[in-house]
Amino acid sequence: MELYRLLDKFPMLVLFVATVMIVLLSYEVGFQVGRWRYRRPNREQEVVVRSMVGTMQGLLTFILAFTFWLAATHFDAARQALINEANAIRTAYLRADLLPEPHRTEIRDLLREYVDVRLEAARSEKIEQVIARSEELQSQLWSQAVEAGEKVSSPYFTGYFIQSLNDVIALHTRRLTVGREFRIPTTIWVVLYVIMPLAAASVGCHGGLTGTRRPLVAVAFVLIISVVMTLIADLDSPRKGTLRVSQQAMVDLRKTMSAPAP
Amino acid sequence: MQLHGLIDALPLWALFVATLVVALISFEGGLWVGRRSGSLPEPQEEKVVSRLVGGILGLLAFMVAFTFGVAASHFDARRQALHDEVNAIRTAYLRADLLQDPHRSEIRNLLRKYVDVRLEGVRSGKIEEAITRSEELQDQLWTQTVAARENTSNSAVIGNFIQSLNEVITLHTKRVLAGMKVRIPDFIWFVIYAITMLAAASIGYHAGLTRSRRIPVAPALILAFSTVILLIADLDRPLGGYLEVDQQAMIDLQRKMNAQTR
Repeated sequence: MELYRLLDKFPMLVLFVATVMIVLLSYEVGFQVGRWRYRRPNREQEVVVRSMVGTMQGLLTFILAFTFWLAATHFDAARQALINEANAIRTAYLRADLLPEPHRTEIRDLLREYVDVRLEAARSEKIEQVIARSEELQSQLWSQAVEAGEKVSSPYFTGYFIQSLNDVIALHTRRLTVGREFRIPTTIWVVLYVIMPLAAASVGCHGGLTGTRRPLVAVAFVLIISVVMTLIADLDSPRKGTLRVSQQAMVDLRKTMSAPAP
Repeated sequence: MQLHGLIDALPLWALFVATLVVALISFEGGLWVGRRSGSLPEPQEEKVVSRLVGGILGLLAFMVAFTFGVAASHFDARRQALHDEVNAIRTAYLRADLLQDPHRSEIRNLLRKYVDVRLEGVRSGKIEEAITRSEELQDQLWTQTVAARENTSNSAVIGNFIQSLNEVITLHTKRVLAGMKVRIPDFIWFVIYAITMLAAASIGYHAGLTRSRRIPVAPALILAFSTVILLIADLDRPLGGYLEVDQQAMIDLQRKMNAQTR
């Protein structure tokens, strides 16, 4: 089971709160260990710990930054796939003009319905249903195209249309794959949640060793790490959370396909 | 001796344990050497050592983090190649519909077999065999296409099909390259392990020099680095890791093709 499927079930707020708890707890454990060491004679040298804690934080920062970049790439891919799909549908719609009747009207009606179904996907939770309906429409479009190709005397026009219809179908698969599989792999999540508590505990341990009280900045440290983690999860799931792929390209396309929406 | 051959041969948990042990031994070695040095260092001398250790650790963090970035983008490239291939096969399969029988059904059969071979290759891990078999099927597909061309007058349709078949063949090469050949070079592995050992030894030396006691932060740091190195090895490994490219898109294609057998 991929971990992101599990993560998808939680709202972002839960993830954020859980992350804050984990980091805070690790910090506190580290702090108690450090303080206990501080009270004992012959304790560790603060300088030695300082350079190690710096590295630990450096490692965490880098890995977080790279994972963020990975998630941002996935989000971009989802956005790009939607724009490409809208363009492909538009091209197919225009090229259908070159086909003979009744296929022209038939195909244009099917394409309009296709766009409506795609737009529905962004709103409803019934993804499986939308996918099934899209694929049905694709096979109907394809049989229309094959029929038109058999009738027509100019194979070039059908050729153009078929090319663009193939693009539409390919981009459907692309959007599916991007949404379902272009995600941060489980191992990366696991590693992040291993390094994060270790880094927080080391920072806490260093604080405890100096014999001072818990600084207020520690809270900022905990919050920032948790915010970045939540942002990564949000970016990584384009259908969820506050960051979602804009459907504007598809909405605009629907407007140009001049016909009343059902 | 190929270093990544060695790294691939070990199971991932063994690699993790080996990394951990190597780093811990280096740490202990450094500690021993540090404690052996005569008197306690002057504060100035200690400062110099501290700076040097910080530098080595910073370099290690950079190296590990960048290699992680490289491995993650290789993983994404493998995923992308699989997805492009699925789309190309699907397009070729659809376009074969426009050819004349018997070529039409012959080509569709070959493409179905092709998908089976691709999936079987990943499932069984016998990659070399699958590659040979795939290339045979590609030759047969090509022969069929040429034969179909001689039997029809409609050159546009054949042209369309040839385009998509070429795409399938190109993407086979691309997938083989992305899967098998694009790996983290041996020299980078060598450098990562060398720096890890040196860094662990210098933390130990620093601690020994200042007569510091054993610190819980040191094992935590070593654990964090070993985890990230494990992740890099896992991301870089084409088969047999915890992270495998999800074959769902190809499985979906297989299902669709079998449903469309007409």
